[in-house]
Amino acid sequence: MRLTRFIAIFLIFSISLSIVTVIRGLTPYSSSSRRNLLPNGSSTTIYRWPPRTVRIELRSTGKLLFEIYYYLNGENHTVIRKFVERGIFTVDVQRRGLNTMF
Amino acid sequence: MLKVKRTVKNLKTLIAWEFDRVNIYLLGFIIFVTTAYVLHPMVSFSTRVIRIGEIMFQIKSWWEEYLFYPGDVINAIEPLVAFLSGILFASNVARTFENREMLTLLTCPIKRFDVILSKFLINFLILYFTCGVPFTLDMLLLGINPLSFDMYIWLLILLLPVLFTCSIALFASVTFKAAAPTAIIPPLAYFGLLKILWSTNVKIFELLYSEWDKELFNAAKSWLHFSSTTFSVNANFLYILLHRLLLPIFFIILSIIYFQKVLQLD
Repeated sequence: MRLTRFIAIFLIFSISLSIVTVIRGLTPYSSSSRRNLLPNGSSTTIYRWPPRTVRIELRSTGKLLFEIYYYLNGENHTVIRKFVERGIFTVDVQRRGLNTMF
Repeated sequence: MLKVKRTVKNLKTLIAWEFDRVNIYLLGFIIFVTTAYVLHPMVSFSTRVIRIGEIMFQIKSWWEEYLFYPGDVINAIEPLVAFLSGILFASNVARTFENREMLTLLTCPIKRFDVILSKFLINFLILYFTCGVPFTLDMLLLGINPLSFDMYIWLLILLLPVLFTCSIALFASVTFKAAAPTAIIPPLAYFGLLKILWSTNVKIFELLYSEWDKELFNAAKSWLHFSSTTFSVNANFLYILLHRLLLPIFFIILSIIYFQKVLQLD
């Protein structure tokens, strides 16, 4: 009876850990997003739970350098790099540790 | 000596028996809620990024801040523990008065002191371990060395809020002998005390509900790293000791005395 209880407790704890691990993975690892981007300022969001689709909306009064890159084997690999004013971008993320920067 | 051994043996048997009687669904609920809450990104600091620049250029201040992150997690755990202790004590202690289980138990040749102490200890240990295990995981993920004393000091500090709410829950369950008030009183007492302190003295409020863990951590560290002569006891430390340790012990002793000498079961 006591062993069954301990197994049940262990199972519940494992399930809780799995759920919270998924929640943690879906939460941005790091974010420095601001409502207003200052000139020469940047905003970065890092996720670590691929694959996923990221939708980024940009609105600005001037030109922005919009850049998406992933970090692999110590190198930054650029996915998108262009000057934009506005737009909605959908990016398929297939690799771990994608950084978006604009 | 033989008497102490017998008492410890009786207490162990009673604790094991009490553990078998804890509702598995309630236990599962508590394990799930505490694990999900403590490790949730809104509470846990181990999900935040560690900035390389801070490590390289401001290593001292970064490290000091970094070591105090578990203190903020403990402050976040405290209101949850207030709710859970109410539910746990209502289910495992107060309900035994309602369904006359306590009356049956006291007809057995066991002391009242052993009965109430075992009931308190098992519920306290359940809450402490359900919060302590994810809290330890969080500290490991944060990068605090398990071989250093820091982690164990934080685990000791976690004992105090759990002890505080459990002592109030025990007092409520013994005096009211009903599940509903027992479930409500610990969160009410916690938030009521918080509100009263906030409206009367903000400095004391900040000391007892925000800065207390850091003060205790610093005191424990200075006591461990240097000799006991360098450890100075100031008024703040005494306030914390009174609120976090002496008040719960007073409630526990009061509950035990009330259960042993005053309480009538019929």
